[in-house]
Amino acid sequence: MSADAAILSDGHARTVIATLALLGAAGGAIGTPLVLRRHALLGDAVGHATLPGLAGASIVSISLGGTGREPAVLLGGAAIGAIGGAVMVGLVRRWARTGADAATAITLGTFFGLGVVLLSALQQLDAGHRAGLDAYLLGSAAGLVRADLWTAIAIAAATSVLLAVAHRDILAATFDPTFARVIGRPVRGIGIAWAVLAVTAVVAGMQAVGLVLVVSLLVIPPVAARCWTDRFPVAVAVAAAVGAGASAAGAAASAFAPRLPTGAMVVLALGAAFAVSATHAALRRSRGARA
Amino acid sequence: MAYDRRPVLRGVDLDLPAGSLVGIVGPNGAGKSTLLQACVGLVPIAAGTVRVLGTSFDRVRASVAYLPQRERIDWDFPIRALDVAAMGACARHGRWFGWGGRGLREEARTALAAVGMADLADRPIGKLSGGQQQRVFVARALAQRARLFLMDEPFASVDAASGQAILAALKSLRDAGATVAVVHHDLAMVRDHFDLAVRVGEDALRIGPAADILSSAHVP
Repeated sequence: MSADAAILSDGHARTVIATLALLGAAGGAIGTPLVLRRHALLGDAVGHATLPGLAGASIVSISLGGTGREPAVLLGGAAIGAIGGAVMVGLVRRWARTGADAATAITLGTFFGLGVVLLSALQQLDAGHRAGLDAYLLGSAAGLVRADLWTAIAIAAATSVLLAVAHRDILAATFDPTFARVIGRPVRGIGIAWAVLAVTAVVAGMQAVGLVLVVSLLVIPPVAARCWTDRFPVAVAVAAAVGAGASAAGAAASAFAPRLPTGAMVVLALGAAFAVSATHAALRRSRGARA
Repeated sequence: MAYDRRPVLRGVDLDLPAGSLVGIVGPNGAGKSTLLQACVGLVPIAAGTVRVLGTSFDRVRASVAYLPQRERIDWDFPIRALDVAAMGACARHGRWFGWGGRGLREEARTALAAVGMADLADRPIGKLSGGQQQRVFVARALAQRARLFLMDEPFASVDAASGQAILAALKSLRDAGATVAVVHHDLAMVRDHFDLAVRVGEDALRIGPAADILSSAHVP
């Protein structure tokens, strides 16, 4: 057996690749309605909003006599921060009557700033603990375990079920929410369910890809998919495929060359898939213009 | 009805008879769109009641087709004409869950054919002209088989052929007993082709036969 084959038969590498493929697929599907609603950066605000959650949870854990590194505690804190971020984007949009872009920027800055302050407080509390949190900033695929694979399976399954059952409602609420509201469809409920999925995917993806880069999982695959199709259901499927393929490729590349950071490799692979897609769309358009 | 507690329309007392084609006219900013939006609960009503098809709007939602202004639609969205029209069939049957949409697509094709768009059913909406895009949305309202049609400027940026197709579709709806209320800027068309006109003005609302409300003196 060659060294390369040995890596793929290595249980941990397979767990990392499978987890990232599933998160990439779910991220692509979840991101498609968000991108089409011009709400692409919601994931960025949510991702950065996990930082104060992580740091806050660590501080609480230490002050209660814990290590400040319990994964469940940190993930709980990250989830609370992420939900806070998603809620704040919604409230800022409504109260300040501003667009999604400004609301996202305000939320992202405020939460990340709070996170940095809490990190330095954490460092004064116990200098050794900050290093544990740095792994979440840029991701640490090495830390992924079986439980994370199951989480990724659950997220991908929940996304698939919601899409299979409610794809018409999701399309109507994304394309023409006014129409959907007038005829009495639960537009708000769908929006909330989708935000919950997005927050869950961001928190899960954050461990592998890092909270700074996790938004790429939600944004790059949908934009790439739009280059290949003019139909919403196909766009969702292509985005899921691009997300799964590129994430698995990036994870595999970093398994073969362990010094390459997994999160960054995944994002680079997504970027490459996008470059191919955009080139295809540009060529098709210029051919169409000549014809 | 009011925005930010500033009343936009006051003293609205309006009764649209069934089976009529009604033009809603008036200067920009007078509240024509707001009037339609209030009927379908999109803007709050400060005082008074709205009754739709003789009952509260909540009970007849699926029978009301509301066509928003074209600026509200993202024309780059990846969707075909057929899929837009199929939403109307979906609303009509309440078939929102699961798969198997062949029947819905058939109804959508019929509705598209009624506005002369059968050949373009598989086109993405971004690759249609402005008039064809409006026809697709009229087809969605047709597929919905609504009894009340509220349309916010379906004739905006529409070419002559599309305008004729839309007008013919609205007239056949009216003839089938539906009430069709249309915000429209072409006063001559309202006067010549519509049954009733509602003039939304500074303070008051006037309703009457289209020819009376838009007597030639008012038409620029």
